[in-house]
Amino acid sequence: MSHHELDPVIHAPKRLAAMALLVHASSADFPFLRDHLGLSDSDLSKQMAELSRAGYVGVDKRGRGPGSTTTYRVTRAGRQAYAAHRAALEAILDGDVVPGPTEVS
Amino acid sequence: MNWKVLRMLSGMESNGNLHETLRAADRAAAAPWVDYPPTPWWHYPCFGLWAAAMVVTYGAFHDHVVVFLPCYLALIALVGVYIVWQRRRRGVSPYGWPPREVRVVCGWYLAGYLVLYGIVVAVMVWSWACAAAVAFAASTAGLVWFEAGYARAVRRVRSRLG
Repeated sequence: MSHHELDPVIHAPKRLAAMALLVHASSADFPFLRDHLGLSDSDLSKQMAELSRAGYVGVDKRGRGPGSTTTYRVTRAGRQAYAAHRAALEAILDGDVVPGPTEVS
Repeated sequence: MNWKVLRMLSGMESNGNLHETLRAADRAAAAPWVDYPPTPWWHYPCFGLWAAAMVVTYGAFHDHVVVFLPCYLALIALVGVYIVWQRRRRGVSPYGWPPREVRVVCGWYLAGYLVLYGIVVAVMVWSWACAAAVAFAASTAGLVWFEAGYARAVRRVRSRLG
């Protein structure tokens, strides 16, 4: 296990939680994510836009106005990135790796 | 490793919050399985009626394909409608393996349903009307039991994840 698997995009706690949720759902809509993650509308939009830019989540918008829905689903790349990041974090907790300046390339 | 990742790691470890971050991720991962709105009361008898309708459709019409097939397909389509309705109501569709506490309840429910299936088939040999009544009563009661067990499992998951 190496620190190369740590992903700066997923590492932010809000995005890590969002990815953890989406990996265990075939899709989740905006209100569910907002309510569960305890974020404001604007903050959630910002975090999800970041994940979308990285290609980790897909966005599906339907309708306009009050009845519109925005649904998110994790992509295959997102699923792999989350699994790798999670494994790297657990390896750090298990003491398998020790971060140090020698690893800086 | 680049400096950004190294900075990220050192900040994380000096804060000593890696455990809490992973715990929050675990809570989020369980959310699709444990965060759900209360089940409406009519849900249980409707499921019982659906199971009974399946039995009646087979028992009364299996010799009349023209009637049997559309009725059977309509009942199967109802499952699809139900899944879409639940997904919209909850705002999420769970995927993959549920938390272990929930898995146990689902396993018992599935086992119970297989036993019920066997009983209904056995009763059907004698009378499809009685089999339909058994399917209605057992499916309704089984779902009530399952929901109660599921709620207890959810409380255990929440307690474990903090």
